[in-house]
Amino acid sequence: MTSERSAQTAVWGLLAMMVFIAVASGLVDVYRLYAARNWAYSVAQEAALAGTSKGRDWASISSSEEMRLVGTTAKAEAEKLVAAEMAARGITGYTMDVRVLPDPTGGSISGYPPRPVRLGSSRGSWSSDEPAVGVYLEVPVNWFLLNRLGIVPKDVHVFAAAGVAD
Amino acid sequence: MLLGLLIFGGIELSQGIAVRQALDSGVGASARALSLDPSQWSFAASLVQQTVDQNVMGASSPVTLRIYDSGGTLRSSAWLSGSNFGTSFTLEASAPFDADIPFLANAPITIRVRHWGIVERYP
Repeated sequence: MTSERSAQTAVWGLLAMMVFIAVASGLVDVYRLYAARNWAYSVAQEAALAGTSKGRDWASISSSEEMRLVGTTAKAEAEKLVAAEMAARGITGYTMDVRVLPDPTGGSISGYPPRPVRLGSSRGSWSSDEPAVGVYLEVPVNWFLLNRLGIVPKDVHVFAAAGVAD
Repeated sequence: MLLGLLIFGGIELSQGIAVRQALDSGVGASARALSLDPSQWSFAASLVQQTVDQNVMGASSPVTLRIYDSGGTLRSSAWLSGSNFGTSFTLEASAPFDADIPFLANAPITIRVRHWGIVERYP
């Protein structure tokens, strides 16, 4: 009788341990996802700011007194910052899509960002009323536990935009 | 014993996460503030410290703020204050964190967060 109880206790103990480990691993994965999403958002925001700030067309101010962006410069500067941040973290396999609205009145790009993100009333269709840079990122996340369970998706998708106000 | 490890480890981990989150938030806001007015170093340092002090788990740590140029060289607040429009910089904040978990040896770590910024103060 005593040995049966001991065996039951051992089995329950083992089960409880497995459950605790699974819960702890799941929490670690949730945090990794949360941290990765926050970090990706800050990279996208900083890249959009870099593109907007360094892509200003000063010649346009002199000639027409209106602020514009040099599309190629703004895009290159934003992409450079994203590449540097990804390299600093050793992240590969990410996707970046940088678009520029160079005109003084901005404009709109339908179907961008490629996945709907929270953008007020214009989900999945980016628009701005000033020159702006939009940065969309898809960053892979390395799961701790969920990789073993084959749970998808494993990427975080973020979008940020910055504009030049007159 | 395992339950104790999980509970206290979880609480300490949460405190570490809260400090890091507060540090991230504070440094992001400070980098933007310094972009717009690079002479506001003491305001930026105070902003980060207050954000960390008011984190949701209540764990407070002294924050150290450092500034780097685009080449990764450590600079001073005076350098930033005198920087021209368009100068890129990286603001780094670090805070010590000591997880106190029963049955485990203490392993003090330093939580570091970096944010990029660019001076946008017109001359």
